Amino acid sequence: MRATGLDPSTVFIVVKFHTGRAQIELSTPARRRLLAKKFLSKTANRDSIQENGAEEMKAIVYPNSLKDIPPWRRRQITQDILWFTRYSPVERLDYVDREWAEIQDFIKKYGYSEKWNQKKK
Amino acid sequence: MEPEKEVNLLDLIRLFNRHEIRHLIIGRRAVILYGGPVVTGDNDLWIHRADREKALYLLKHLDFELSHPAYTKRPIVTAFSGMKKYDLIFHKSTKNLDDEAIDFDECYKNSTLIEDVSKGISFRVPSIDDLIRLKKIRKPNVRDEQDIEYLLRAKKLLKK
Repeated sequence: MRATGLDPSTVFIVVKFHTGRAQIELSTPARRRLLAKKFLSKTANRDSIQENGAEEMKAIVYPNSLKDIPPWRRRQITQDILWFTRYSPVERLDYVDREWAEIQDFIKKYGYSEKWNQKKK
Repeated sequence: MEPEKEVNLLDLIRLFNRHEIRHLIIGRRAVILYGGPVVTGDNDLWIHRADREKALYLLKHLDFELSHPAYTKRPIVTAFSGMKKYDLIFHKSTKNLDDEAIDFDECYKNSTLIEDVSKGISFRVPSIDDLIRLKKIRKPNVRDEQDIEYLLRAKKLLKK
């Protein structure tokens, strides 16, 4: 998991997992702030934006074949799969469980909801 | 009642295999088994309708907490073992957004057995084509798009 360059106080959590693509989950206050700063379009997906979130989100069309995936992304996913399949299936599942636990810890530690519930001193 | 020990996915799959409960690992876990490095906390299992009672009574016996009683006829039951959550799906068949019918028996017949010899376990997952069809059941989203990309590439790599 790796955070992008965005200010962690702005977004709820940024998850990046070896794919070059970030999925950003926004809390409502964070969404409001991003809207105010015009980082986010009002019509963008409510739950997630992509890394260059200034662009309005396009409707998702699933690829029917590899030809529908841009070459740079094809190279990325090939590398990802070749790297991940070096591990056995059980090791892969364990790895993902550890990664999941790490993300849950991150949310617990930096999660916006907890901060917003805290009283100001 | 708290279960004595949290039953993880590997233990559960071993049990299902031992008791000959026809099942398929679906969702992101299946993508991971095909080599896609994606993250999930879900454990989705598609179980043959005829094995529903066998599966649910087995889980009950293992102190799993079930969202519905073991005799339920509901098509989806959630089972908890400690912090682990398992979504058990008992649909005979389903349709995706492309109006393609996906039948358990057909998926099971075309399924792939992914073995881990070192751990002495085998995972039964739908074929890549069936898994992609299953991914199209719900509204298009980034996660499923990513999964489909990995599955398409994995299919090509497996052919080599």
